[in-house]
Amino acid sequence: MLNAKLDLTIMSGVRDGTPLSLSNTVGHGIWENGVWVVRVGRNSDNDLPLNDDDFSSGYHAKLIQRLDGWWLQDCGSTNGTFIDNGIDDERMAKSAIAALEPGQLFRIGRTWMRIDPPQIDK
Amino acid sequence: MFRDIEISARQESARMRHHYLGVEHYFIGLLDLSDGLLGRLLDLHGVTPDYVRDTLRRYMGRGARKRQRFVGNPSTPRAALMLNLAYEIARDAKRDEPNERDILLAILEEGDSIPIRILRRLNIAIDELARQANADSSGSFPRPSILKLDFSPAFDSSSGLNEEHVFILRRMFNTYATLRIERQLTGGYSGALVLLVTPIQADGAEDASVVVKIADAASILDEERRYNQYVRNTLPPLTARLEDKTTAEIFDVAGLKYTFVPDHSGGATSMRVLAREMGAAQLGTWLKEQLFPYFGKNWWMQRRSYRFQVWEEYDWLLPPLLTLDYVSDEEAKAAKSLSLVVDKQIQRGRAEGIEYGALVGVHHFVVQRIYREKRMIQLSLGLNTSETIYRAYPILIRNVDIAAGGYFHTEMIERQYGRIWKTRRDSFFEALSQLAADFDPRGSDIPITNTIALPNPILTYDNLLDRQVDGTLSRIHGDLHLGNILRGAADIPFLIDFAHARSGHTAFDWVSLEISILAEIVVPEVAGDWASIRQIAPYLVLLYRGEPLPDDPIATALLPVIAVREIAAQCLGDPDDWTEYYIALALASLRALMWNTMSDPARRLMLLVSALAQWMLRAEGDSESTPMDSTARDLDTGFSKVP
Repeated sequence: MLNAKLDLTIMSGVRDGTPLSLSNTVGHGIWENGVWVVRVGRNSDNDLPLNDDDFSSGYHAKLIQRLDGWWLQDCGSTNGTFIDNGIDDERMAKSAIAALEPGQLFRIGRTWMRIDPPQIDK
Repeated sequence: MFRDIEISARQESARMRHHYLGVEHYFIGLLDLSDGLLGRLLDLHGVTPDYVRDTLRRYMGRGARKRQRFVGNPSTPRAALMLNLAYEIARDAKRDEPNERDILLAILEEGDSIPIRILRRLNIAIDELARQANADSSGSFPRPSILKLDFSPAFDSSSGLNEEHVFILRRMFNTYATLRIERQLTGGYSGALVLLVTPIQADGAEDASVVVKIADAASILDEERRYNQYVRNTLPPLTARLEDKTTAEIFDVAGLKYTFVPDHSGGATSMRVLAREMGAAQLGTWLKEQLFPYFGKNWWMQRRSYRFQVWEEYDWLLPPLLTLDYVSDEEAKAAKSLSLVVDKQIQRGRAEGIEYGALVGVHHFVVQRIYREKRMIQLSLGLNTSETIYRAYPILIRNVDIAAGGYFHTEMIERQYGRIWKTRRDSFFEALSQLAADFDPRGSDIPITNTIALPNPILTYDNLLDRQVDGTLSRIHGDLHLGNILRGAADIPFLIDFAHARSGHTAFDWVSLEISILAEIVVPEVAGDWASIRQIAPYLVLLYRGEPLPDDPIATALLPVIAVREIAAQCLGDPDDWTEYYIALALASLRALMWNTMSDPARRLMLLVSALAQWMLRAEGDSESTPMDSTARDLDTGFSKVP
């Protein structure tokens, strides 16, 4: 793996509508067993720090890039990690892992987010 | 106009402790406008502004009490984008600043905000809404066509079909020319209106009759959810089904339709009516041989072993643990000390012993119901382990400023204060005092016959709540009474009204049906005053003990209860141990004592039933109850023969 990249948009809260771009080339994420992992949580040493969300845990969740797409893992958070199933917010079990459909919303603490489709460089 | 919306948006943000201004706050600003465009459009889509506001608040959640980490009240990037769009739309229309339509169109065009997601969840098409918003510049709306209502002679027009009901019916059947109201099936105890109706096309062709239920909007939406969760896939092939599309939520009422297989007359009749026709003995047989086998397989016979503490299944049925008068945080702080703090660890004894006017703090309870008109909110325990635990320990707060509080369903309230208005026991005594007791309602004993007294069940029920019970768990109807059991073609039973369907204590359905039979079939056999109601007690004792009953009208009226007991025996955890049944009966009958919709004579009997059920628990000599005392022994001999 050489070039790993994650584009996402914050979908709620004070930063609602903010697009974010993370890339391993500028030091975001870590490699775990050959897959790229983006750490999300309230503490500032996360790859995606949520310092304005009092309901997120210090190290709340991980976004994991696998060959078959993005996966979301709860890291034993207090207030939970949720996935929007179109009808309801579904709370993930503690430390559970789930595949994210393209464009599917998920919530870390109170912050909703969405992974954007990869930008194709022309 | 723009200023009003912005102020309203800022107020919402402050109420919710968000401290920023997002699209969702502007959206609520639009909802708050009286007779606003958004409210009128949502109305066309069958949802009320109140419902959408509540759903939005639930989605967003309230902010933490401590101040956020950012300064000022910034607009979110999305709100800034939306406002730019709104100003563009306004400029195009040669206006200096956006009006409500411009803001709404901008929100719809931006298309990615929280309100948009909520609208989609409510099955509202965004482009349709935008089209309607554009079309509204003239202020004219497509109104539902006016449906003509016909009343069949069997319909009792005095049964309280009001303006709201008519409005809902028109919305539900707006593609038809005429709707014939055949008859009222049941009023139920919930205050819902259940009608059998026949829709008729413009060319006079009649469609199949359907059952319509109209009730408050929250419970209708809840019923649809329960139907989908517990009922849809468990029904026998021929029975009442909820039509996919439910209804319109207007005012605060809504309706839903059940289709069914009608009987030979083209209708369906509830057991409440049929019972008179078929007679008590035949009703009992029908319950055993039709109802139970037909639904049992997927419902009550799915029973699994279930050990629970009684309060977990039954507390939520009882009157509020406490009813409080609202006290603001500031006032509570000024008072310095609280007489009682109710937190997740409930000490019911302390709650009962507290004096009128004492200041109480309620911590970490959730908002269960909001009574906008009555200015009350009902809180409950809110532990997510099961639905009945979630609803347990209801606490009612009166005189609440609903609009200023920004309450929403399922919200967890960190701290709420109030002064004691009444306790649960007070509520029971109040209900009993309406029944013209010929004894001291607060006395330690109540007369069960003219010579025998038993401990007052209102003073003794509380211990039952802490007991542990070994019973069974299955899918239950949750409100099984004669009015909710209908008979269609070929004697086929069907159930309606799934507003309380859930996975729960199996015996509860049979206890509920037993209470309904007592109220509707047995009580009418006597005059109804206390002395005549007491005549029923000895029969109940014989029945509870499985002894033969004499051959007379009261005993005959009790035959369906015997049938219910035979069914219930198959649902118990241990067929030889009726503890779980009598505990459920003791509590469910006390709850029925509170029902204003039940007749006074039946409510009188409910007090005796609770006393007798508790006596049975003692008489069965189960280890957790006090051993049979001398009163019970007297009763035992006193009842060995029916006088």
